[in-house]
Amino acid sequence: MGTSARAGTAPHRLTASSPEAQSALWKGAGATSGSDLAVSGTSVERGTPGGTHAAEQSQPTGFATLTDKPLPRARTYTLFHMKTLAPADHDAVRRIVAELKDRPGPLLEVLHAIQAELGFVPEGAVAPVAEGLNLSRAEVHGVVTFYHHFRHERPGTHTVSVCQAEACQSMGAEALTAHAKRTLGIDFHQTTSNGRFTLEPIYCLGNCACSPAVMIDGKLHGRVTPERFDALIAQGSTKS
Amino acid sequence: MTTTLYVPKDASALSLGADEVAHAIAAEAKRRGLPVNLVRTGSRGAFWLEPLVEVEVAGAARLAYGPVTAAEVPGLFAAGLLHGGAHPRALGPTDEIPWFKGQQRLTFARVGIVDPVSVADYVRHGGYQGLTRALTMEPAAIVQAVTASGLRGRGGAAFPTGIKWKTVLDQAMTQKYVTCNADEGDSGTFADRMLMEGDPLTLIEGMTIAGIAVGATQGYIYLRAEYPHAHRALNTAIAAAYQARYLGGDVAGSGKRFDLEVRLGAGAYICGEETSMLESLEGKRGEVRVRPPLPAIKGLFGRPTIVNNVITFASVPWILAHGAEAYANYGMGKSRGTLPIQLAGNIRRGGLVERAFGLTLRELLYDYGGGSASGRPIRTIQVGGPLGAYIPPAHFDTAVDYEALAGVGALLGHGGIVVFDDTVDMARMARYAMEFCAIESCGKCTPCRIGSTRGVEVIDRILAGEDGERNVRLLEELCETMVQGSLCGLGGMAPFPVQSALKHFREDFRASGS
Repeated sequence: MGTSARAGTAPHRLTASSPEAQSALWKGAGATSGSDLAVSGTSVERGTPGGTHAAEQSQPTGFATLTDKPLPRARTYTLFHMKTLAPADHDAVRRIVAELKDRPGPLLEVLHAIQAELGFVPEGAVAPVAEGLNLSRAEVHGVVTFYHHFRHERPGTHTVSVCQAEACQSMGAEALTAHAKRTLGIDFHQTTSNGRFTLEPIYCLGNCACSPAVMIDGKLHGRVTPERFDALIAQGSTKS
Repeated sequence: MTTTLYVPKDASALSLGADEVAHAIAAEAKRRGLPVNLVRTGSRGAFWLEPLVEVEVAGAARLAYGPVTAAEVPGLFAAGLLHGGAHPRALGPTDEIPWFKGQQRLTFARVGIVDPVSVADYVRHGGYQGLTRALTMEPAAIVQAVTASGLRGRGGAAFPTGIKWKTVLDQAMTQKYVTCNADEGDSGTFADRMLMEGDPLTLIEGMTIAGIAVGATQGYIYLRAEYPHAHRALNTAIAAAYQARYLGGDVAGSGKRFDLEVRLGAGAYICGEETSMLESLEGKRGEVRVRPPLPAIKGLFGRPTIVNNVITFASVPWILAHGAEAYANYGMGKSRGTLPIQLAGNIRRGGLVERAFGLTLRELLYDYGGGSASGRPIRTIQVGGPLGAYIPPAHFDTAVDYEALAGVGALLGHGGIVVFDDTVDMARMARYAMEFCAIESCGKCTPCRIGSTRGVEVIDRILAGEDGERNVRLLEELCETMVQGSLCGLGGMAPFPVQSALKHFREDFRASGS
């Protein structure tokens, strides 16, 4: 997502455009980066990991295809995880893996460390992590995508999480969420076009006697009214 | 003379400006040239009074002021804050505030009072007496004391703790583990967080006792990633405990080893389920395991493992220090001891109330809670987190007791109570229960993975006015299937809020606008 959405980074200001317009923009951006991924992914023949054959075919798969036609000699797979990392990030991932690999059950620790350092867990980190921990790439990918906490895209400068759970609902979290989306002009899991704010849902911050709760960059805020939300965002708009 | 002031560092207090108040106090004291010793504590748990500032006046109990804003600090100093001067925010001695006075704080005795990361302060307030006693006992006697206390798992399942420990003790394996489930994901609960931030050494002591009791040398605290403040507090407290030799190769000079570390979860509600938590601790997807084997026999890395909630472990030091009988003297029926109850949501005086089992929901909601925050009538409460039933006012005289709540089709869970006023739409809450289950399902079993998604769709059809009665019946059947057929409590209990909403608030399940 991030790259295309942020390509035209403007001087920071909150977008005033409607959520619909933003959403359309967003979908456009998403489609672009999606195809980026498909292009940069490497297709390899089964059984030759690391190979770099070009995609042989792009026919649809599925039961109909499999039963109606003879199976191709070797099915092709697109391995997104072959996407490479910037050299500095690659070094960071390798260093983290080397530091933590001998701890019992290290994968979550490693992913947390990567996210702490890079801000997210890039797809390109999957292969070196798998190699370093002697796991399959599927296992690592499975874990990265299982947990809501791990991001797959670079977040904005500030991450704003609005609690969606029952206690906050009882104190108006739904209205606050709508206000947050309107103010920032984005939906959940999106980043403002100026790259400053990423909006996330969160399910309980343990601040249930002071609902509704919002967390911004790890700082907790309680009894957040729409006015208070705007004030907090205004702070984030000027501070990096 | 230096005056000691206490300002909480608890995440909830911070969310209401406690840091700003602390900074203002330090600045104002400096400006006036007054020597103050500012101690950052956990929260006393009265969040309706936070930020709560306490001052220790020589020879007297602590005096409370709250809720204080940073802007009020100069005025407080002008009114003689350091001598307990009169001020509209003055509340008198903290322990005399009626909200605190009737509480029976055993597990939370030190929370909000001590410096959370000081071993010396902890010991000064009765800490490590339980461990000291335990180190003079045979392992089986420690386990027997926990059994005799009647302590049941405070995470929600209410399984007798001593029986679980005995199973682990009886295993012949050399490597065993003690794991703490600190994945407090239930909405309306914050007792684990408060304890980990306000008195983490109690949890550390409880886990150490467990390790000594069953012969485990390694402990893990599985903490949710949403709790960064607790993470810092735990790590600091663990380092302090190592420094003071209460952790490591020679626990309190006994020659016994116990090591402890914190592992972070990653935003998966299902990891509050014990087998899923163990998978996650092993660095895997948090998918539930089929039981048997029980974790007590084959748990973390296939070894015998104790899995208990934060409050369960934190209750153990008191039991060892004061005796099993003293603990069992609190409570009613098969629910022995005290429970930290959390009043949350739309409540005027929200916070943590620790009382012996047996008081009624009504006492909690009105005597402690003071009714709803909005001033409107309370229509329902959800007890026990997102998988707990919605309880109508007709059942508010039910006692806080595992069996009594089960008797009205509800559950106590982790002791969180979320209050809703009469503006709540119960069909929407039912829909949310299914939606939450769909988001958080680990995907291993079909009733939970598919059932929750279908549940959302059926409720949407009911609200759209499509064949209402038939779809309500379908929803009831779907709930039954999920309850009977799911592998763990997520899919097996997510229907509870839906079923209770259907039972008590059926009038809400009709097409919107009709």
